[in-house]
Amino acid sequence: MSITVLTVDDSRTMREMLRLALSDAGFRVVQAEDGIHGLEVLAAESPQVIVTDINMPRMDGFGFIEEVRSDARHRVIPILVLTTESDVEKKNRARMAGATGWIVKPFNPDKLVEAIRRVAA
Amino acid sequence: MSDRHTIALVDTLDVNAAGPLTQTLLKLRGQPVSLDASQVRRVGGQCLQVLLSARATWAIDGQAFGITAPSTDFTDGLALMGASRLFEATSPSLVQD
Amino acid sequence: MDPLAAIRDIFFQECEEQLAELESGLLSMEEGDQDPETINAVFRAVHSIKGGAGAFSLEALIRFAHVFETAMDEVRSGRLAPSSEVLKTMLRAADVLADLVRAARGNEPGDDPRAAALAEELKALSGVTGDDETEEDWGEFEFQPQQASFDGPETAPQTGYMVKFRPRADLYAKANEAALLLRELSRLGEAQIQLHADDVPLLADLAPEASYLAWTVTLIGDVDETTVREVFEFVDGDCELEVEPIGGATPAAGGDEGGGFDLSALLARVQGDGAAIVTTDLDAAPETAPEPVVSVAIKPSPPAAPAPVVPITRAATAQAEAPADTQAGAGGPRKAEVAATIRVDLERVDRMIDLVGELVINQAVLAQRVMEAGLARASAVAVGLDELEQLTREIQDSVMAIRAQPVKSVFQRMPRLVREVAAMTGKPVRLVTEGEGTEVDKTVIERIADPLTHMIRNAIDHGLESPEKRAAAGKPAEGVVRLSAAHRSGRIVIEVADDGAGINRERVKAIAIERGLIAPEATLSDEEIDNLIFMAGFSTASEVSEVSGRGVGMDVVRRSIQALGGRINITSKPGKGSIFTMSLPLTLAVLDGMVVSVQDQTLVAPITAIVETLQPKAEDVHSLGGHARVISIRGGFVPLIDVGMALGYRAEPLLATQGVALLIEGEGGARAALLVDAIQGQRQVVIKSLEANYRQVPGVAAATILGDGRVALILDIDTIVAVSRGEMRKAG
Repeated sequence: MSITVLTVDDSRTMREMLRLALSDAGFRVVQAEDGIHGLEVLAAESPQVIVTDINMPRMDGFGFIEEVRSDARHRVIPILVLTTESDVEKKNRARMAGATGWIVKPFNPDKLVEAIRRVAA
Repeated sequence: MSDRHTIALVDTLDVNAAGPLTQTLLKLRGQPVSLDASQVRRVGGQCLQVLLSARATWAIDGQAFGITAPSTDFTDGLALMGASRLFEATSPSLVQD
Repeated sequence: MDPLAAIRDIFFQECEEQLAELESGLLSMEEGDQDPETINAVFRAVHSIKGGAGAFSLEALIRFAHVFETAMDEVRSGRLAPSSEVLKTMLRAADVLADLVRAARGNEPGDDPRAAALAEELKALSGVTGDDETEEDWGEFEFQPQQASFDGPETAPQTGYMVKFRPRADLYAKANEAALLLRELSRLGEAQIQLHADDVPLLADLAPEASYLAWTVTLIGDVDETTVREVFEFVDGDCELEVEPIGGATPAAGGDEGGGFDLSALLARVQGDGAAIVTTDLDAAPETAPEPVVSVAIKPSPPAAPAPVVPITRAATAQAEAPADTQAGAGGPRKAEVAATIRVDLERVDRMIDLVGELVINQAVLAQRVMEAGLARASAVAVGLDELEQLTREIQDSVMAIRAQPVKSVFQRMPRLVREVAAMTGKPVRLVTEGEGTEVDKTVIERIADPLTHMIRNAIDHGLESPEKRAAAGKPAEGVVRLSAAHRSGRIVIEVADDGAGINRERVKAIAIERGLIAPEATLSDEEIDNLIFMAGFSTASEVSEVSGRGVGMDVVRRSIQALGGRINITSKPGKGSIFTMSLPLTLAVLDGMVVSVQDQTLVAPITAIVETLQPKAEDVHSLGGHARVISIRGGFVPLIDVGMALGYRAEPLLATQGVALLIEGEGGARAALLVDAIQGQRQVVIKSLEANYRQVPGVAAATILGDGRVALILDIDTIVAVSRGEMRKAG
């Protein structure tokens, strides 16, 4: 059974890049445009891993991670934060919120896939 | 044999499973217990803790504690955590009483 | 298409959207908007462009976006106040960014000296000097781990490592899993994994989500230390970790000075007698159980436990169990506050609009039949039908609203235009926009961009005076162009107003006479004079302007507006400025029509084209020979066109005095009078495209179905006028 990855990013470009990299690696990809949309897709698709951007409209990545983690059903889903923020503060905030790991954009597709495999059961 | 309780372990022994597993085991304290690991696909560190703790607890209580029919995933998972031999199926002793 | 090329296209499309967001956000900030979400949206726009550019290695774009983003971040974090000066720089930076995007799209180098100069300005704003941090962040495609602990020099491959690993509860709470980390580690080479379970309490004292276990992994393999540490990249800070190369000098016993957990006892047990830990027979009596298990069991009263490293399990558990409480106040907006949206294929919407059109027609037909059946107005059926009509209208409005979009998408293109025209003309201008949220049909929006652009150019170039003239007139040097939209009686009204000198009527009239557009003796009202500027070929600027160009006059604007079923006019006050007012239908699917009879046919003329209706008097109508006639209206002559003849309904023209003339204004402001038999009335009609069903008929734009079920053709005024003009030339 292939792993389903939920990607949450407000940039269509980024979503398509992710889709390309992940589907090439054999993952099933479901997409969302922001945190709120992400929660909806999460409920509908039961992915095994989430890859999310941080800076998004409506509900940002921090809010999204917190919402996911506060839901008993999803507190153990691995969440990778995908963002151009290389600054440590953002990363730490994401981790405080419950992020499992992170990928720095522009991402290397191999690294991304490797990171997903690392956290996915 | 009749007083031995069999608990079927859930397929995903992750963080979410640790609490319920602890509760289930606590309720059976003082009685021989056998865990059916045939359905387990994943086992994580925190459930391993519970199993180890239960095992020690049962040992102190002088009660039988065993694991039956471990799935390959279960055995592999324990091996990865260096715990495989702690829970080797010890079927002879289980059927003893 | 190559998938990457497709994504590249998406990227550039998205850039356009982000650029629009960026500009409107900056403009809104310029007007004093301090909403953090506005500032964040501006930041995000630049940030997204940078992100995508990074993926495609668009160097010039990345560099500039990065500097821009850094400056925006200063504003976002409150370190840089968004003063009017700062925002002006940012707006110019937005323009440069837009140019860089377009250059990148066309694979041009885009090494604009303007970009370099603005980048310096932006750096000055954010207090960054000289150094090129861009390269550091973006030169490398692969990321470097950021943690200090990972920053050590790249280590040479070793033959093996001793990895000591003790997770904290947080590690599990973030959905990391010790088992998976150990799996990764064991993939790097040959791993011997030793478990330390000494801290595990008895079940009654166990906090299920605390962390009690630790591991020592002896990894034999040809890997470098960075790779080993990378396995634990995500759990840095959430575990105790030691990675030590196994060499002759550093045996495994060095646990103490490492500050990690005490290994010596364990190693003694595990390495000395691995089997002892392990083979506990289940039914063996406790006293015969090997040490490790017993030591686990009696843990509650700790013997020689490595106390310092025991995690604060209770606290950690409590923390892990109460995320909802601690985070309730933080986080983003709640779900309920945000309107949900769905994306729908436009074709589906249009199909629905068609169907609703049918419904409206059907309802009208039904109402007519009920009337004809002689039912009383107050009868239950008639009342029910009235309600049905009400409902039908509401459905129609709602469906139309689906296609409606705010004019914002067009309005937000204008600030840049204003800046550019202001720069070219040397006139300082402030653009004020109002009613950006006013909605109108998508097609209408797409088609008003050009006329609007032209009108705004015109307002600055011709409407506003030079700063000197303004100063002399006691006006502020900065001119104001106001662009506004509003709904008024079922139409959208868009105004472009300037506070310039207003129309110079003397001059306009003189030019119109000079060009033969009006008779020298014609007496015109101020309003009529002002509207002369819409006549074809009229241009008030005596010199050719670089901005507005020659030959493209307001007549083109008017033609575009009329093609949309709209009208445009001007009001002007000398010294105070001019206001151009366009009124457009909210949708192109319905039309306000004048229903007329010609022979036995019912036809519809778009009301927007009709200036007035009149009863021709015999003395005003003059024959030009053949069937060509003109009618005199207020001293001028316009062609009188018999619609029945034009459409081939009759062979002999109607006597002018027996019909009604519709004075119409066609393309380019050409006037003509359409002679019809009678006027039935005005009503809104649903437009049915003829082309879809029949081949195009000259003189007929579309069709509609009237309440009585009959098909009525909608006149194509421009074609009728053009055709009859041709005939008139032949006749004349």
